[in-house]
Amino acid sequence: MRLEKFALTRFGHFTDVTIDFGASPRDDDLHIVYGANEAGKSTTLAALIDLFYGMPRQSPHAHRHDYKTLELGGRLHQNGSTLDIRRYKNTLTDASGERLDENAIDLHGVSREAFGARFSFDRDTLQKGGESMLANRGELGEALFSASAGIPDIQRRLAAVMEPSNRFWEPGRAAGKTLTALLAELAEVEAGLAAVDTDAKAWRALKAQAETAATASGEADARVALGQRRIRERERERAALGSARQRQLAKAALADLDGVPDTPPDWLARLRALAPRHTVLDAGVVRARADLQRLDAELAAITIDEPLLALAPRVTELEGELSAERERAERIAALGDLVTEHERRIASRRESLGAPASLANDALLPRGDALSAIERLVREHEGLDATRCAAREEHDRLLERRSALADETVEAPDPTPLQSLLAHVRDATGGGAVEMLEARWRDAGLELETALEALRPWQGDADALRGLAVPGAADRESRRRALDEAREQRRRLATSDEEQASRHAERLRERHALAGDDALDDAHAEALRARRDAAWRAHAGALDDETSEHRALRHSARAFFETLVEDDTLAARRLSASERVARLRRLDVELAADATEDITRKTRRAEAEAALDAAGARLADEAVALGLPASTLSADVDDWLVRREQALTALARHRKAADEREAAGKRRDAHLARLQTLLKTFATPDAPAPLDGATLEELLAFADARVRVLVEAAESDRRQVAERDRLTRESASRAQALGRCEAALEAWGGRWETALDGHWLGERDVTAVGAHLDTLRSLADTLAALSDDTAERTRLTAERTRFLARVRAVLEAGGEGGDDAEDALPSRLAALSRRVADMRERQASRRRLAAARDAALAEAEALEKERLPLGVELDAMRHRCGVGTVAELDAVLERVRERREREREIEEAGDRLREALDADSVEAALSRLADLDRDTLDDDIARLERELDHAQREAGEHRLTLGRANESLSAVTGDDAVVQLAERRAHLLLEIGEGAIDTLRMRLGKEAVLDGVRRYRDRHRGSLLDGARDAFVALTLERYADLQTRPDDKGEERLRAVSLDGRSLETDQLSDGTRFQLYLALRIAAYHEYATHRVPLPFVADDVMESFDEARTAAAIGLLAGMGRKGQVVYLTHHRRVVEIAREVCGERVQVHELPEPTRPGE
Amino acid sequence: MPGLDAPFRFVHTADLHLDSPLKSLALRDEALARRVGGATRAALRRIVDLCIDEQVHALLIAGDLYDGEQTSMNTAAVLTAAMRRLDEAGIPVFMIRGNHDAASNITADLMLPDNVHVFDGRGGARTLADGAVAIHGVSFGKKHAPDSLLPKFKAPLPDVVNIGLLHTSLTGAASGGHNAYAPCTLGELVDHGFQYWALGHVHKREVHRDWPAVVMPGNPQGRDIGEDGSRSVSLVSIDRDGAHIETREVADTRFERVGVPLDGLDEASLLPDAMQAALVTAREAIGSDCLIVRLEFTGATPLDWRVRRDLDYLLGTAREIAAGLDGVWVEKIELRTTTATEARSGADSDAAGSDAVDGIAQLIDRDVLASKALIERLERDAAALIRKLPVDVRKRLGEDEAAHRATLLRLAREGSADVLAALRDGAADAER
Repeated sequence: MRLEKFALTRFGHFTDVTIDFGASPRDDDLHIVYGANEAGKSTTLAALIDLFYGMPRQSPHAHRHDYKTLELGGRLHQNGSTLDIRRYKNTLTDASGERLDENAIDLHGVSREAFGARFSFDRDTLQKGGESMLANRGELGEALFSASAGIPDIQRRLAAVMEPSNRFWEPGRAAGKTLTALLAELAEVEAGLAAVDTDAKAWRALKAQAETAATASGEADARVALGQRRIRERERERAALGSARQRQLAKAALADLDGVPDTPPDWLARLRALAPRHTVLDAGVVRARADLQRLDAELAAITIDEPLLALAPRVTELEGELSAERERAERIAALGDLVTEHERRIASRRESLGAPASLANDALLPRGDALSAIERLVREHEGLDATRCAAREEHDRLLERRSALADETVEAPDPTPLQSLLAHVRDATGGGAVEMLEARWRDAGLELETALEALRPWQGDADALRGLAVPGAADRESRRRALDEAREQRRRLATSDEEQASRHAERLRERHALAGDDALDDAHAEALRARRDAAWRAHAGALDDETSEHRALRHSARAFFETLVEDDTLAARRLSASERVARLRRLDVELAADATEDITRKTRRAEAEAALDAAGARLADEAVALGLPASTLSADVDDWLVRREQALTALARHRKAADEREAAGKRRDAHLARLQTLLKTFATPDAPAPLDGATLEELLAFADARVRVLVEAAESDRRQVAERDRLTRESASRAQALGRCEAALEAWGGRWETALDGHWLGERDVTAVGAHLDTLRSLADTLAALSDDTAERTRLTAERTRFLARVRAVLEAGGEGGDDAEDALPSRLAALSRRVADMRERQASRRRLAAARDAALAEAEALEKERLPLGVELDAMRHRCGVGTVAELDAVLERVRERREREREIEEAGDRLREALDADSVEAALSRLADLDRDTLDDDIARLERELDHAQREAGEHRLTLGRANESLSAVTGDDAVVQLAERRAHLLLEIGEGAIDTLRMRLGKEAVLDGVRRYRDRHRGSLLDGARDAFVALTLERYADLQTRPDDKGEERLRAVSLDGRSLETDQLSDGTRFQLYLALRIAAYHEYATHRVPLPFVADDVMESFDEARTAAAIGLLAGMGRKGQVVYLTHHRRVVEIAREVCGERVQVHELPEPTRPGE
Repeated sequence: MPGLDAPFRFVHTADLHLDSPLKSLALRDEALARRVGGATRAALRRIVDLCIDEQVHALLIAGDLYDGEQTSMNTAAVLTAAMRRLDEAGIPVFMIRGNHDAASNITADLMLPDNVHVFDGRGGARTLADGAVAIHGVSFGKKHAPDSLLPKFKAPLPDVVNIGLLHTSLTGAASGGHNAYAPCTLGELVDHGFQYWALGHVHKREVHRDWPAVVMPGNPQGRDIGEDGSRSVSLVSIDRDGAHIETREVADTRFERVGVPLDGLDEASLLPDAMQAALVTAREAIGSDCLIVRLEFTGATPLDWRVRRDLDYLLGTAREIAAGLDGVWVEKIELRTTTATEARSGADSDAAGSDAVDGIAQLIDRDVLASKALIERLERDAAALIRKLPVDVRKRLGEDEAAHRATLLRLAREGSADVLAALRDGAADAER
């Protein structure tokens, strides 16, 4: 595929920039695209890729033009035909905008990424390529693959790919879920499971353990019970011994208590309860009697004044009203002031109204709301009066204006017919139509001339061109194909001849090498054999010769012998070299065949030349038939035919323009005549009609002026009539309004009289009444206030009089004499109040003392009532025991208690004795105790307790075992812990499996890829290395003579560069610059390798020679030109010097394209 | 003569594999792991609930109620408790042992209440409903049953609804081999004359025949992505004239494969939208409380290499999207995509190739993976790594030599595609 034209219609900062790479050139297809600005260069590279593969949505080139408007275009030459395409966003169309499938561009399945990597390079990718060769020490497979795929830095990339899986596997790496971490977690979970789970086997073991422990525990329990029983027996016997001893001691004590009286058993307790209480009651009675006496004395000392107490409620009530009384007095004084003020104000109003002095205050104003009605009538009158004045004034003014307007108007002719003709003429001749057609006719003439000029060396005029017979496209195509085929045939023959010649030379060389030892060839063998035969014949002859001597015999025999030996040796050598001989013979045959082949080849070459000539001749004939020189190239004939089509089109256009120009001229003349005639009817003495010879423009100007004057006159007339009508209508309407106003005023007069009928104001006119309206309203208000305030003062004065009377009455009743003035009454009332309060206090004290006396009396009586029976009971006890005091009584009763205690002890000890030995009587028990002693029993019990303790421990242990086993068994409840752990375990195994499989996949994948790279190397090494060697030698200006490979100690083949002085250097011994050139050489070789197998895509290189000196730049351009012989190569640069060097190296074979300086936004 | 007043109603299930764990990478999420831990227990609980709610006459379990690897008595306790609940509700249970529970360590120690009848290896029959229904069953005696168990079943009882419980791979005697479990054919079952065959063993539900009914209910709770889709038990209502079979879902966790078509997609930024659309559609279509999804990318797209390179990132994105949906988890993304170039140019057999990377890919496919020396080296390399793995994990790489080798080759092929995708990534870098 080849790009013939490339249009950056709207892309980056480019607008409508087109690079024309032209049709396919004969030799180098190398294009230098020069742009002064670096951004333009990289945009061009990106645009080219976007043209082929579509524009990414996040395009960085949508800064000047909106993404939606980005557009690229181009003309492709592919598979023998051309295709014009346009690219919008991700849409591809042909030149007419018809949508195309993406496959319409034949990219040979090369993806966008692969195109970027393989069909373009820049300084950066080459730099990285050089560095990656340093990193992998020039490992051949990787170097070749890297250069072919355009992917530098394979090792680093592989390392990056492997990183995650390595991290999973390698021990000691802490981050993330490594295998080690997962295995540790798994071990933890499994340990957890073992701890909380009970499996079937463990469960069975537990059950057996529980059963055994249950049996053993039962047996131990039985032993414990027996031991306990025996100990209990011995302990009872020991207790019985103790009881017998206690009984004996109690009996002895009882003997000491003889002679104590016999009293009821509860007396001691009774005494101890009674005696203290009796003492307390005695003291209580004495205290209560003393209190009673004191209270009686205090009561007698208090006296009460009852009449004074009866006055208390009335005094309190009057004191409460005192403050209200004060306020009332103040209010009465204030009201007096107000009344005086009102009266003064009324007198002043009367005066200003001029009311008759005889008139009472309440007759001053009209009754009810008549005052409001009068107010309304006054306002109404003012309105009606104003309306009447205005109506009258307007009516007069209108009449005046109407009479000022004149009645007559002027008559002017109607301009409509002239207007319509003018429009018609302008439509037909306006906008410079005639001039435009004239210009168009002249342009078409020039165009035709140029088109005919372009047909040179063809000679002839337009008609001759039209008459020319042109061969059909199909015929031309078939002739051209015949020529191409003939050329191809000749090229194939030439290649085949070269191959044949080289084969022939090879055979000659081999023949020469094999034939070096001439002793081996057939001719030599023949000669030797002849000499041997001759010797034999001589020898045989000598033998026949009877005259021969022994000497001669010996001589001939030796000769024969030597010859025979030589022959045999040769035979032996020939036998041993039979293969070489056979090869020699075959070579001779092949060489002979080569001679024959040469003749055949000559014939075929001659035929091919003849066919080529014939095909050429046919095309030449075609050219001659068209009137072109016979030497015209076929492609040029194509171009000529296209130009002929263009000339014919130009001819047709020229003729059409001439026709249009003529018709327009005729139309213009007709209009002129009609206009002239019509204008005469519109002429006036002030504006005479133009003369007959006037031009169309003069006529039009005159007509326009006339029309303007007539239209204005008509308009002015129309406006005057309309104004007159309007004034007449409006003055009539104002006269009516005035009449309505007069009527309304008359009606008002009637209502006014009714409202003021009989009132003293009725004698005044409306204006006078209106002037006093405010005064009347104010007078009404003041009269009302006077009436209210007078009434209130009267009411308050009455209330005050009543209150003072009540105060005087109370003071008299309370005996509170003194000053009877109104001001002194409150202080007198206060004195009375204090006395009443004092008396109330005294009455309360008396009540409290009476209550206390009642309480003291009740207490004394209660105490005496309780004391009496206690004294009687105590006396009875003393008498019975024959003692005087309570203390003595207590001592006797204490001894009685002791005697009873001893008797109880004896009985209880006897009971215990019987019970312990299970005897029927105390005596029987005592007799059984006769044989027992305390020490023996103690020893027995100690022994039995030891035995018991042992048995109990055993039983405890068995129970513990049983408990634990049962606990474990009952712990198996189906809770979630086990199942959660099992889930965890399963998940960990899954995670480990996934991680392991991921890792394995990546490792095995990497091995497979490396193996693939090695195979790729073996498959492509020959051609790639050869190509790279040539390019490398050229790029290093022959400072290096060769590229070699050599296996290192691991057997990996590594690239080495051989310097001019024969030193073989590894890639890491080269300078950075040389490695850069080496990688560039590999990339160039990879391109050639690809181009050998496939049709290459356009190759784009971006300024890689910045660090090159002029000689290297020249060498690199030579190599690019070499690539240009296989396919299209575009080199982008912003160095003017590179352009110049390219011109020096390639001359006219390089095409230089300049990108325009990008316009900045705002320019 | 015995007769049924009303149809006989029972629940039929099999292959619950109680307490066998769910396996999914999604369980890396601890909240999810807690939620689905004991999913099989939940399923058993729901089966019991279903029996009680529906007041069925019996529960039929056709083998593999618990797992062969199950040795925990904890499992036995769960099982016993479930059976007691049925006992209290007066519902009898009939079960047989399949290949898994016959081999399990807990079988001997299982103390089941009186309502549970386990048929032994000799087989037998029990009658119910006043003799109107007979339930027949034969258990696996040990793990393998290479021969048909059908001859051990009695003939059908006359005028009675006969129901047979059988654990079988239902493959027919002809294919009997080490993988056949009590093989027999559908025809043999039908000919035996029972009205309902309650089968077990195959985990995928299938009603083989409506009448006489032959039903494989499938397992009620899927345990990994291999057991995706709807899982259920059968609720059956049967009399002499026919059976009405309903499916009832009891699983609260469901595995599902969800396809994400990428055909024609050429912008990486659209990938999240494509995943979102697929997940939302799945969520709306499937009512399960807890949905564990495996996304499958399909179609021809120029983004193929990009997807391979960014798989971890895409998985993270998918999980974020799922977190925004109710009860959805993404366990993994599986790639079934091809490059658009492959799709466009078809099988280009020219090893010189349009592109050196394609060339290598073809060399790997055609030559490298066919090379005996390489395979042996791969096996050696792998062996060192595999030794570090727990035994349970090693099984995943193939149980015998041929399978092991095939696995390694497959991994090498997939791995080389991934590695080459990363190298193409390099090509894209060069373009930039």
